[in-house]
Parts: sequence; C-alpha cells; structure tokens
Amino acid sequence: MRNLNKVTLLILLSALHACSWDIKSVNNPDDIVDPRSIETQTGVISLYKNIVNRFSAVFAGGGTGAGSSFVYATALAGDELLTDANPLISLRRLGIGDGIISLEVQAPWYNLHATRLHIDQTVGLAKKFSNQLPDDYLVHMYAMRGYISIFIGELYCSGVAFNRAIYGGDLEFNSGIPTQAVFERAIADFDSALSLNPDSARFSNLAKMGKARALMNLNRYNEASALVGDIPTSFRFQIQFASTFTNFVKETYNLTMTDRLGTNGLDYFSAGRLEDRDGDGTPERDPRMEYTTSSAVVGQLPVKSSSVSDPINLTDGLEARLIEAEALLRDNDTTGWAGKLNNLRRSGLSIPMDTISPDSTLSAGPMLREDVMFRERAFWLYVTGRRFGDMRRKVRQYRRSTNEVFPVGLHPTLNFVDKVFSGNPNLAPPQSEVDNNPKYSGCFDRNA
Amino acid sequence: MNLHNASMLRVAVGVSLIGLTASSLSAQTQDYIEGRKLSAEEIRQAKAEAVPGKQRYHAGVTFSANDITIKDAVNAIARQAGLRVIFDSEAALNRKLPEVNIKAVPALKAIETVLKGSGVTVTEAKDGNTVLLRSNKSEKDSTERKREVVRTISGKVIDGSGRKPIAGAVVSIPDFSVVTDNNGNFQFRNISSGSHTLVTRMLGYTVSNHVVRAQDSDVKDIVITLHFMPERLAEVVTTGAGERRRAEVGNSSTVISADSIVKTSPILSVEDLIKSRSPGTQVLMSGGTVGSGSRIRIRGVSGLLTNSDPILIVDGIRMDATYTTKTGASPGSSTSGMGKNQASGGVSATSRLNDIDIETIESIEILKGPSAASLFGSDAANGVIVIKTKRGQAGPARWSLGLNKGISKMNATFPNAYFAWGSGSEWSTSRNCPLYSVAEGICEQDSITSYNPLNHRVSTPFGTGSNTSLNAQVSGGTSQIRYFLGVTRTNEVGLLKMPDSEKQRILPLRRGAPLPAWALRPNVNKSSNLSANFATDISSDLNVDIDLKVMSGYHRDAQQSAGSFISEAITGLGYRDSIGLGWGDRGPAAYFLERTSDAVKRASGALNARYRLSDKIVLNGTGGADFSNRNDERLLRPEDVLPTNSLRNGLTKYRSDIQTITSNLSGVFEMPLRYGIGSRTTTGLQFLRTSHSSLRVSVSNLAPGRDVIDAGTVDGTPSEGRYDVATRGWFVDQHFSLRSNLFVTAALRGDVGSSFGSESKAMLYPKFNASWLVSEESFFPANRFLTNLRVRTAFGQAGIQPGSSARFRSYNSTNLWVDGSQQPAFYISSMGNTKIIPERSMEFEGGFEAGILDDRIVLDLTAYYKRVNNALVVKPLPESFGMTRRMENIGDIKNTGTEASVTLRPIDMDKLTWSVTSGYSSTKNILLRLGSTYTQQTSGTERYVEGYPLNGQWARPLLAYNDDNQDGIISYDEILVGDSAVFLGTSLPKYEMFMSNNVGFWNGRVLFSTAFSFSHNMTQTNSVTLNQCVVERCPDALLPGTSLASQALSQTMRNLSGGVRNLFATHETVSWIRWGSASLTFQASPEIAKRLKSNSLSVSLMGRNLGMWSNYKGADPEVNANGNGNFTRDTGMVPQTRDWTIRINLGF
Repeated sequence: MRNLNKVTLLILLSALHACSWDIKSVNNPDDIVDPRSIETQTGVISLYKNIVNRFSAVFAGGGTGAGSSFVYATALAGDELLTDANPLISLRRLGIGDGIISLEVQAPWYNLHATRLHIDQTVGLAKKFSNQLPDDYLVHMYAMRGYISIFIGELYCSGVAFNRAIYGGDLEFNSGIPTQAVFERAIADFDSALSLNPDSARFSNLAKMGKARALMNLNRYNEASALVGDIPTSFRFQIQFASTFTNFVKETYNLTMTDRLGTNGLDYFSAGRLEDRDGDGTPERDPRMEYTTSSAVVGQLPVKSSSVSDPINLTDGLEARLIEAEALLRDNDTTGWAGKLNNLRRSGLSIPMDTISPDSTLSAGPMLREDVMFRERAFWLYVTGRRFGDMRRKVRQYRRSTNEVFPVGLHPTLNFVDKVFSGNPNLAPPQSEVDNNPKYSGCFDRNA
Repeated sequence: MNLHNASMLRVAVGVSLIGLTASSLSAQTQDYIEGRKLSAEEIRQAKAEAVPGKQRYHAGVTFSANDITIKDAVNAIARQAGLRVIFDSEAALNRKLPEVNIKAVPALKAIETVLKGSGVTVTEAKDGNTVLLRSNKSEKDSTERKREVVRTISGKVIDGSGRKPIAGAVVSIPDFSVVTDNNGNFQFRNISSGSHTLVTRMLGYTVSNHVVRAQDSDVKDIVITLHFMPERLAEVVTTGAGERRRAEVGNSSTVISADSIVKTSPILSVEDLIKSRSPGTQVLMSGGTVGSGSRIRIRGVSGLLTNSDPILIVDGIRMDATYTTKTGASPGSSTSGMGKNQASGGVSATSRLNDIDIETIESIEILKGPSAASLFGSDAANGVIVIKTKRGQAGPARWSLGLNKGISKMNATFPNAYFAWGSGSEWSTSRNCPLYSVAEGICEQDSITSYNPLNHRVSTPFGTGSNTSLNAQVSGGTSQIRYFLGVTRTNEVGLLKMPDSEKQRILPLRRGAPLPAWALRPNVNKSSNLSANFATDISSDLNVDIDLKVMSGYHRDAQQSAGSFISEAITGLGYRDSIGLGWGDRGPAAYFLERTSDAVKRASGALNARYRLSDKIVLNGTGGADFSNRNDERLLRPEDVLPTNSLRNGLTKYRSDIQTITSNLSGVFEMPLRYGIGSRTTTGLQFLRTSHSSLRVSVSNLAPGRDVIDAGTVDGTPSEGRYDVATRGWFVDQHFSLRSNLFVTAALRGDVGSSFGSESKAMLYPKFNASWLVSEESFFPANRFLTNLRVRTAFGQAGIQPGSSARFRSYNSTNLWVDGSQQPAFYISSMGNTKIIPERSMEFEGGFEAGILDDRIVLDLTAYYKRVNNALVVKPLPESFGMTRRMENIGDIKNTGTEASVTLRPIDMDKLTWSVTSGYSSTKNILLRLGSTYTQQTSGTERYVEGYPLNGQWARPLLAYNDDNQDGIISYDEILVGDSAVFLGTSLPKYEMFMSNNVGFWNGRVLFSTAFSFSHNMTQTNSVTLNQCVVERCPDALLPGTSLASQALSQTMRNLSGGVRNLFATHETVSWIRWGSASLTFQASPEIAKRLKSNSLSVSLMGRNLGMWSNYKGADPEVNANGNGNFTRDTGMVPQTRDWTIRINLGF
C-alpha cells in the first residue's frame, strides 16, 4: 500500500509536470511578426496598407519592383518607351521573355503574383472581420486582384498558371489556363467587388472600369460600354509613385519616348513636337504628347510623368469614353464614334485639337478608323499600361498581323544595334515556372 | 534450468548445508534469496534433481552502492547474474557495508567480496544457477579473535600500459574502501593482521585482486597494476535511458578518460581532448590562434540547411555548444560579422564547448549517431557529447594542485611573394612583369625578388606566445555527503605581436598617440572556472547530486584570413624595404589596431535525484539550467585609423543570451523473469527549452578615446532578435538479458516541438540493439588466442529540428507610402510550412570487440550505414505562388563508414611497459536526393549535387593547354577551361587514423607518451595561393622556366574582366601526418614529495604539434575557415603553433 501511494503521487507529479511543459508557450522569433497577432482587425488593416503599396509598385513603380512595373514592362514590350540599358531591353533582345535569365525581367511576373498572394491571404482574414471594416477594403482588394489578372492576361502568353497558397499552409499547384480564362478570373473578382455595393463611387467605378477592360479583352464591347456609361469623364483612379520613379526613368534606365519605333510604332515624339503641321504658319502639337527634356535625360519624357508627384491613372473616365467609342465603332456607328472622340478632344485640353471627321477623314475605310481608334487610346492613355494590351487586342480581335502592329526590324539603340525586334507579341513566364510546377509545361501558344 | 538432467545435480555440502529442490527453485520468483532451513529430504532431493546449467557464476557483474546491507548487495549481484541464493542465517547478512564497488567481477567472486568478514561462506551449486551461503561465524570469529593484531597496508595503483599513477581508484578490503590520491597512493590503517585481498577498481580498467599477507608487520609499497580493460565491457556508458554497462549496449561509443589525459598531455581545450581519440569523430579547426574554436563532425556531415553539430550534455543537462563562425555573428549563422566598414578579414571562430573546464572533466563519451542517441530525440541525429565531471569520494579532504606553464612558437613557413622587375617601352618605371607580359612583348624581366615578412624575424608578427594555467581541486566527504570543488584560472597569450618594424612605421603616423595594449598583443584568451558538486544520500533510498559551474572568459583575436595581414604578406612587394617591411598596402598594424573580442559569462546548475521506490523500481529526476551571456565587440577608434588605410572608425557591439532548461524524469522497473531472463523497463519524460536573445548595434564617427555606443553615430538599424525552441518528449525502453550473455533492447522515443509544423504529428524514433557476449557462452572454446568476443548491432532513429520560424507564415513590419503618407504595414515574409518536421536520421551499425592473447591485443570494429530522410531543403517554387521558395523535407543523404580501434600491449613488465592505441575511420557521404535545384551552389566552390558528397568542391577544370607559339610561355589564350564545373573532392578527409604510444619505465616513475594522426583525401580551396596568383605574385606566373602545366594553372586564376578566372587551380586534395604530441612525465618519489609537504608530485614536459608532413602547398591543411556547414577553405588563418608546456601536479 505504501508503494502504491508513492506510485500514485509520482504519477500525479509527472502529469502536473508534463502539463507545465507547454511547448506552444515559446516566444516566436522577434524579428518577424507572429501570425497570430495579425489575425485581428488592425492586422487586416496593416496588411491592406501593404497591398495598396505593393499594388502601386507592381503597377507603376516606386518601392518594391520599381524597375519592373507593369507600366514600364508593357511600355518597353510595346512601342511607348525606349531604353539603351540592360536589363529591360532584353525584353526585346531575348525575344520578349524567351529564355529569360534576368531577374529584373522575371520580376514583373513574380511581383504580380506576390501581390495576388497577399490579396488572397488577406481577403480571407478581411471577411472574418467584415463587420468591423468598411466594405471598401474588400472591394478595393477584389478590384486590385482583378487588375492583377488583367495585367497577367495582357502581358503574358496564353497558358499561365495561377498557383495558390492556401491560408493553412498547403500549396495548390495548377495547370495553365488560356488568356480568355485569365480575363474571366478578373471579371469574377470585379463582380465580387461590385456585389458588395461599395460605400464610395470611387471604388465602384474602379471595379466597373476593371470589369469593362476585361470585357474589352474578351471582345464583349457592348457589355463593357454599358458598364461604364455612368462613369463621369472626370473620374480618376490614380496610383501615386515614389521618387524611385524618377530615378528609374532618368538615371537607372534612361528611358525616352519613341517615335515610330520599329516602323509600326506610333509617332509619339513627333506628335508632341511643336511644329507647323497644317502649314498655317502657327506651330502646333498634340497636347497629349507634350514632352520635356533636361540635362539629366538623354531623350524625351512625357510631361505628364516627369515629376515625382505625378500620379499615373490606373483607370479614368477618359478610358470609359474610349470604351464607349470603340463599342460604337464596332457597331459601325462612325458618327457616334467620332463624336465620342471629338468630345474628348474638346474637353479642356491646354491646346485645342482638331476634331475627327467620321466621313471625310476616314474615307479610306474601317481599318483606318480602327487605327485612329487605337492611336487615340495610345495618346490619351500614354504610358499608363494600356497600350501593350491594345496592341495585342488589335492583333487578336481586329485580325491584324503581329508584324503590322508590333515593332519590326533592327533595334535602334546603340547597345543592340544588330539585334532584331522579337516577333513575339507577349512575354512567357520564367523558366522556373516550368521547372518547379509539375502541372505546368509552358505557354499554350505565343500568339496575341 | 534443464529439468531433464536433474539427476546430475551435484551440490557441494558444507558443515550446515542448505539445499533446495530444482522444482521448488523454479517456484521462487519473488526474491532471489531464500532464507529458510531445508529439511533433510529437501537436501536429498536437491542433490538428486539439480541439474548442471550454464555457468552464471562467471557472469561479469558491476555494482556500486554505499551504506548497503550485505543481503541487499548479494541480492543485487544475484539479480544481475541471474543467480539464486540460498542461505541459512539472515542475521549474518544484515550488517551494512559502507561502500561496495564492483566492476566486471565474476558473480561468484563478487559475492565472495561482499561476504568478506561476514563469517558467511559461499558455495556454488553445480546447476550453475544457485549459490549456497552458510554461516560459520562462530568458528571464524573465535579464530580471528585469537589472531587480531592491527596492521597498516599501503601502496600505489599504477596504469599497466604507461605506468602512470592512477588517481581515484577504489581499493577495497572487506568492510573498508579507500580512494587513491593524485599519485595513485592509498593506505589502510588499523587493519587486522592476516591475509587480505585488495580489490582495486577503476573505470576503464580490469579489476585487480591482490593478496597481501600482513601477518607479522605492516605492508608498504605495494604496487597494484591495473590494466586498461580493452573490451571495456564493464564500463558504464550513457544511453538515453540512463547509464548502462557497455556489455549490454549494442551500439558503439567512445569513452575518453579525460582526467588522466589532461595531467600528462598537452590539452588546452575540450576539443583537444576529443581530437584523435574517437574513430569517426572529426575536429575541424578554424584557426591556430589561442581561443579558436572548432567544428565537430561525427560520422560525417548530414545536413544541408541544418547544422551537423552534435549536442552537448554535461552532468545530465543540455548545454550550449554553439559554434560561431566569426566574432559578432549570430549564433549558428555564417554571416560576415561586425564592422563591415572596417578592415576586412576573418577572425577565428569560437566555440562554447570550450567553456567547459578541462581540469574538472572525468570522462567524455561520444555517442556517434542515431543508433546510440535515439532516446535523445529530435536534436541528436548528429551525435551526443556527454561530459561527466569529477565527483567527490568518501574520505578525508584530498587536495590537488596543477600548474601549467607553456610557450608557443610558429613553426610554419609561408610562401614568398615574388616580384619580376621589368621594363617596358611604354613604362616610365620598373613594374611587375609576368611571363605572359613578356610573351606579349609588353615588358622584359630585369630581375626577380622574393620576400615574405612573415618568415623574417625583423618583420614577422609571430612572436612567442605563452599559456599559464593554475587549478586547485579538493574532494572528500563521508559516505553520506561527498563533495568536489575545482577552480581553474587560465591565461593564454597568443603569439601574434606587433613587429618592431611595424611600430617604427606607424608611430609617426599616429601623431604621438601611444599604441594600445591590444595592438601589441592582439590575441589573448583568459578564463576562470569554478566547478562544484555535492552528492548526498538523504536516506538509503534517496540520493541527490547538485552540480554548479560558473565561468568567465575573455577572448581577443586579430583579423586574419584572406584580406588581412597574412594576405598582405604573401602579396607584398617581394622585397624588404629600409625598415624591414615588405607588406602590401597595409601592414599588420591595420588589423591589430582593431580590437575584436568576445567576453562570456556563464553559469549552469543541475540537480540529479535518484529515489529507490522499491527493490524493483527506481526513479530518476534531473533538472538544470545553463545560462550564457556573450558580449562581442569590434572597435576601431579614430586615433587608430592610419592615414594610409582609408578605413572608417566604428564600434559594433553584439550581446547574446542563451538559456537552456532541461527537465528529465524517468523510472526504471527491473525484475527477473523465468529461465534466466532479466527484464528492465525504463520510461521517462523530457522537457527542453532553449531561449535566444540578442542585440546588435553599430556606430561610426566615434569620438576620440571613446569606446561606447553613445560616442558615435548609429550605423544602419540596430537589430534585436529573440526566439525560443521547446521540445517535449517521452520514451519507453525495454531491455532483456538472457543469462547475462545476451542483451536485447527495444525502445521508442516520441517528441513534439515548438518548431514542428502545426500539421505535423509527434515524431517517433524507434531503437533496437543487441549485444552478445559470445565468449561467455559454454560452447565457446577456452583458448588464449581469442580471449573475449562480443558481437553487437544497433538500429536507431533520431532527428534534427528545423529552425524556429520555418513552420509558420511570418510577416514583417514596415512603413510604406500609402495614400500620400507613410503608414505602418505588414507584409508576408515567408509562407512557412505547416507540415515541416525534423529531419529523420536512421542508422544501422554492427561490429564486434575481440580480445586476443589474453587481451594484449584488443580489436574493436564497427561498420555503419546512416541515412537522413526528410532532409530540409529550400525548395524553389514556381513564382506564380507569389513566393519563390519554401523549406521542405525533401532531401535524402547517406553516410557510410567503418571505424576500428586497436589496442596493443606488446610489453607489460614491472620495469617496462609499452602500449599502443590506434584508431581508423573511413567516411563516405552522398547526397541521394536534393529534390531541388535552388541550393546547388552554396558558397564559393562548395556545392550540393545529387550523387556527390555534401559540401563537395566543384570548379571549372583546366582541360588543356598548349604552347602554340612555342615561346615557352603559356598565355591566357593558350589554355582551355571547361564550361561547367566538375567535382574535385570532398571537404572532409575520407580516411583518418591516429595512434598513441605510451611507454612506462621503472614502475611508472617515468612515462613517455606520443601521438600521431593521419588524414587522407581531403580537398580544399587554398585561398592563399589564389590571392597570390590573382595579383601576380606567385612564382608560377613570374619565374622563367616554370613548367607549362604550372603556368597554365596560374593563368586560370588571372583576374581578367570577362575572363575565365576560377578556383580550379586552388583546389588541392591533400593528406597529412601530424606528430600531435609528446610528453615525458616524472613521478617523484614519496620522499621528494614530502619535502614539498605533499603526498605526491609529478612533473610533465609536453610538446604539441611537433611536426607535420603533407603534400599541401599551404601552411596548414587542418586550419580552415568559411564554408557552408563545414570548413572548406584555407583562407590564410594563422596555422597551428608548436607548444611546449611544463606541468606540475601536487597532491595533498
């Protein structure tokens, strides 16, 4: 009996001792933030702030990924900007993404998906605290995720994978999906945003414009036009960028405006030059392409993006009107189409512009009207990340050939004087995607 | 028991015979001792039915206890041997013995020893399983009373191999035991006259039974020689379930008797004790300056991201043995240390293992891998170093003093820097004109000079180092309370010094500022240690041991390595200038003026309790904590910045605290089963928690004369780190013994840990081992050639934990520009892996131990196969996850090897003894599966490539060269270098051997010991050669007549823009033999010792690093730094020095 008591006492002591050995009571590393402390309302707000900043960088530069933002990657992959410096130039030299080796060139792909990852992880948490947060937080995050899909769809080939890191920790590897499905993903996100009945028109308009842009990419012009009809032309959703932008433009990569780049490029620089185009003795220029030069810049910079404080429009009412105009053009309502464009041309520009006549000017036929349409978009929306997608749409939805839309021939810059423009109208994901995703084998095709 | 042969039982019948029938014996299961009178009929039946069985009387038993009754002692011995005991009078057995120490004694002899003086005699029954005790007390007492005269017996215990005195040996006669002093002396006073058997025992030695006759006078000057126990089967070794006899354990382990080694060998650190004493254990040295630490690899390297260091357990508790690659770096990190804006160049590594006071260590055990360390759980896959410190012994206070005084000198030479003075048509002055420039017609060589200031007295920074160590120890106590107290003070001054010529050079530049002391002698290592333990027997059932250790240390070292003064010297101008210099851009002052130090304060305490709940159940508990506080500092004051150096002054301070808490609880349930099978079940719980915290601050623009943080401008962002890792484990260990010849153990350990992923389950580590004493079996032929044979095998698993943060999604905080203002935000820094688990190492080993020619030759051979599954690898992820990598358990690694040790005793005479101990090991390591391409390239030329060893050396090879233009010079365009790297070799030696010789003269009065080691087939990067060739100071690039092959290799190292410079030519696959040590010890006679009022006196003269023979072109192939997990590059750290030390030991 005495031993039995001892054993009982021992068992009790052991159990008590074991219970006190709580391994979960340890301090987590101090230089990182405990995930448990994030799962709060204030934690969600802090994560949201990061997403806003990250989205800003991935779209327009500034902060993380300054040199590899969507705006500049598309500007260089298309016909808007030119640089003689590595590594962005390799977008062209390496065949726009074939066999990419430069981390800088890989960065847009990673940054876009990293932003998506943050949104994925935060949306779940935000829903948990939805009653303590303004709806706009969720609306904004859905909209940003929708734009991420648009950016991926417009910049990369058909056949990209959207892998998913599940909040609990599992990784979900996925196969590639065609470009069409990418835009449909975007629409789903914009619909999610709109279904929340945003508190402010600003976020509502953001979601509508995003959805409309995705619809345009899917050849659904009338739906897009109808969606943006109530968005005022004065609407702006701007992305502010940090000082990194000017460093990037002026010093790091020495970007400059182009002029008829590779034969097919538009006359951005010429249009902005002050000269007597109509022979009336008064020099004029397209005010949308006004440029500036300085000792720090080899070439020209658009005036609208020459200052640190200049924001870039992620979307705006101008784009809404241009969508409406293009829908009218697709319906062969050339008068309505010209009217939309002319309304914009008369809408408070510093230098009055000539109007477009739907009949006399465009007597050459529908293809010329289409060219005018895309030129108007390119000039109104210069260096805002829309042009490259438009070029692809022009090939994909207006049945133009790649060689007719994208720059061709020898690259004009000094470093790549003997290099020929790639014929690829899009980027391929980095090879690491193929190497590390067992379900992925590369682009379905490299057509626009 | 074989009942079929019952009729063959023969029982020796004494005066009062007690017998038992075989059938009744089998019914006795509760106790080994039967205490009843038997009837005549029972005796008759016993005679008739008992059978001959296995001879358990000869089974070796080991048993130690204090204040125990004879009955309990006999009971314990019988239990071990599986014997049954029958006796007639319990009263005679109730007397208590103050101390019983029996080690590896045949059971029958052990019982005889315990019974000595009790008046009870023992008789063996022929069944092999039973002994009969009979009392003849009355007869014996009357006889002895008649003879009783008091006598004194005294003598000395010495080591049979080296004739060294053995301190701490227990010499026993019935009822009394004494412990030998530091000189091996012992004395019994007031002993009854007559014959006595002195039983002498010492860990690691065979038991000696020495009969003396103290009939008519005292007996003095007895010399008892103990022989090293080659098979070491009776040694007590550590397992995760507690201490066990080696014979019972199926895995290989090494026990190093530190106490005797430290007294007669040139040992300065724990690493010195381990090096070249355990086959398969490699000590990778980081530098030759005092205080330099080493990395220890047991059975090779076995992790990519996790470190391969073994864990350290001292007196039952886990202690920090963090290895820090450079002063100021984070624990376990390979970051580049402090003072990034200050002078470049590495500082030797430090190891917390060396905080342990070597003077107080009794033994070091090395458990080599998962098969031995399963029950240590999720940290133990790389092996366990178990250190036991000295304990107090009952008896009067025994004092000992030890004094070490030594010097160190540089015995390596360094390659000269060459300079080919040339003139060219477009040169205005004479410049270096390498051969290829001659070939290109740029210049013509006029003369060639060569010089290295390191090799010349006037300019060398290598002076004479010194070391002084003083230790005092006292131990003693009663059978109830025993104590040990040791204090050691060590002061080492490294041989680095500011050369006089350098002082001449810089004093004018310092505008009168005196040189600081640290610049004159930049390398010092000081420590003070106090170690104490108290063992108390609170009751006969409860024993408590308390250990306390306190340590304070200070280590300062100079910038070394490539990019420091050694690099300056080998890339200098190739001539000696007017004040005896010959350095490159900077002299050693630029590095010595920067004070780089670390100060450590450390305290640990442990409480071990043992409670005997019943005869069959024993409980053990251990609780303890280890605290260490380290303060690193790197200081370059403004006044110490030389105008020619363009360095920036600054101060970096790094403080770290590490706390480790250990809590163990276990219970042992032991009982005999039938048929000679014994069972022992051990189960336990363990909790371990390690907490790290650190703070690092750097400032620059210091105010002159100030060396505090607030005297400067903060550089960068101060950083603070803190994390904990906790593990909770349990284990069950079931051990069976059969006839004390065959032992089988199966065990299971389970762990949960704070670093495991949230989705991971408890880790389970199984273990199985078996040991068979073949030579103890009846069928084994008795022969002199093969005296002992044991075969063994072991299987086990253990783990290595991931980092503390790998398991969870983590965030970083920052301030971001959002909506026109800076706002706080969080971002995901790592997605974590909720399924992450420890790496699992599985090991299978087998081997045997054989004693040949009466154990004059003892062979121990082990082969092992170790496989790491789930090795942690950084797996690259497709970037469309939004993250680029994640740590996953996807790697597989295999280590195989053999280990052998041979002990020889060619001569074993009183006047002359000679023993040789040697060890051999081979190690083969292969990365079976990487599952990733991300980490292939690690640092420098080290790579992880599937199918090749971890940390293998890779470089683009020189494929061909041809002197196309026949000018006798190989130029850059006449070599062909491969496009991709090829495997060049392993970064650890594939084969290692060591051998020590011990020769004793005149009964151990004079001892001579010497040790050699041999390492073979290690490939490393010789950065010294690289640095020299890159700047065209190496002879191969300059000397006419250099072979075309050598020229071609030098061309591969040219630092050409866009060229093919690579490290192929710097790789050397090397082998070396090192004469590690030699020592000569004189044991003073008692008369001389008494003149110093001591009981004993010995003087040892010891030399270390007495010679090295190698095909290596650099200074020392064993001194390496850098590398990812291993040391793989000779970056020009200071080589090992040659030391001479004199040691005096005094005992009181």
